[in-house]
Amino acid sequence: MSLRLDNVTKQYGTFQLQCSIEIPEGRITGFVGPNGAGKSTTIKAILGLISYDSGEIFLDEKRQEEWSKQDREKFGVVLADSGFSGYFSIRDIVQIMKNMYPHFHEDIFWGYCQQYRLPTDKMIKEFSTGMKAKLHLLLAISHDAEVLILDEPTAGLDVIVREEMLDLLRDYMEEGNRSILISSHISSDLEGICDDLYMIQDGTIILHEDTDRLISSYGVLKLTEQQFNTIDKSHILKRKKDSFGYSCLTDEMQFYMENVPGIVIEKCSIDDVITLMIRGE
Amino acid sequence: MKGLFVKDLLIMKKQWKFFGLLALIGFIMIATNVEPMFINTYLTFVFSSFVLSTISYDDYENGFSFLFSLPVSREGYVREKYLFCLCNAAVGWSLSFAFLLLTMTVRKQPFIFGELLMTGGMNLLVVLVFLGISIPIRIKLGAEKGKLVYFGIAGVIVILFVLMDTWMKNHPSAIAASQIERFIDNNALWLEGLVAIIAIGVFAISYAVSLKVLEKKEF
Repeated sequence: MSLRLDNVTKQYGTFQLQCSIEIPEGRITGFVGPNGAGKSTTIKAILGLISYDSGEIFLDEKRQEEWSKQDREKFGVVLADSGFSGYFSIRDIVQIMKNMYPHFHEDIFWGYCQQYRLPTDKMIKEFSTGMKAKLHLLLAISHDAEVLILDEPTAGLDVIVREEMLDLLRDYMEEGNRSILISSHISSDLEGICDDLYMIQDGTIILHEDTDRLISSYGVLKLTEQQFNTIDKSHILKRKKDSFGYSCLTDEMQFYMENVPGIVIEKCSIDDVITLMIRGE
Repeated sequence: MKGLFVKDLLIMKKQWKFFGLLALIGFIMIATNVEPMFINTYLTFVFSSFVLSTISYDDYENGFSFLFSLPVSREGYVREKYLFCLCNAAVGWSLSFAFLLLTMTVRKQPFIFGELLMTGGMNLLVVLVFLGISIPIRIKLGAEKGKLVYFGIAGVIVILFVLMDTWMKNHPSAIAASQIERFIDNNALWLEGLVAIIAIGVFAISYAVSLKVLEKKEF
């Protein structure tokens, strides 16, 4: 299933969200941006937790106002700051899920709980951060959801738990008709799993790119003042003044390698792209 | 809706100690010769107002955000809460009424079943009016801010009673207490019917208000 946001706008005081995103079937789409950029607002709009002023949200070609209970069952959701009451145990939650989702796979879920050593009778409020995160993700993928909406699912987790969770998502995507929107601050997670990335700042999408292209074609040019003045700037997205001259973000690293002899180019990580896109001019 | 119902029953199950305490208080009431009808009022009230506690649980730690990201519509949520409230009221009332009959039989107190049923029915209706007012307040304001409103409402009721009492003392000939009692006795069935209509009206308006409040709420 695919999900599409067409020019969704939402005004909160001076903050305005204006956002178009497409999460195609069979792809994992990353959603990055600094705190307060509009990631959670966008996710809340998708889930119907907030109203929006204009625009449309589609699940396949069905408008959000027309979504039925069955359509909503196709979502699996992990939110950064909320979940089932901490007074419930996993055993309680299974009772609720069984009665809430007709396709909740209890056997598979219990198997996961065993695999990830989650205590079934302990209250969730007594779980560690990692255990809670695993539980939320396991719940989201155990009812045949076709679209996962994951808001910071790996925040605060150690590298081992994060890897386990990313493996779960890779397994989940093996059935081709599924899609994932994942917001995260941890760029290494996104690099390792996402097919494409949206970057949001001040409520506006400032970059959308395939992850492969981001890694292979994006780079940072380290330019002296003189080089900066003479260089062809048609493929420079952002620049930042540095002690030696300028750091410039380009989406055509090859172009500069071939056309500017002696130029210093560094391959960049997603973090570099984020930093330059947000801090650069 | 079934999932929400199961969730609320599980929340109730978590509070078995609280219900154990209620049973204990009930026994103490019997042992201390408390007016048996009070047991009916008290237990009906406690059972049915449990719905308010489930709303607080749902709201706790941004719980509403997660709840409405599940296949739960706002209308479905409100419908389930009112149904849960009515079911609890029915269970609480039936149990306590049975308890009442048992107590009166054990104490060998004479009673007319029809009269008891009328008084018990009135208790149930008053409780439903109270919950009809409380549920939208709890959904709109949450547990803490909601308490302030309850205090405010209680304050207004107390002031009205004091004013009425003062007025009646100053105008002893206007309406004698015995006249009121006689009027109630003579028109008990009509009054019960009137209260029933008011209770159903309050409950229906309350449902519509709760739905409106929840539909406007952003999480």
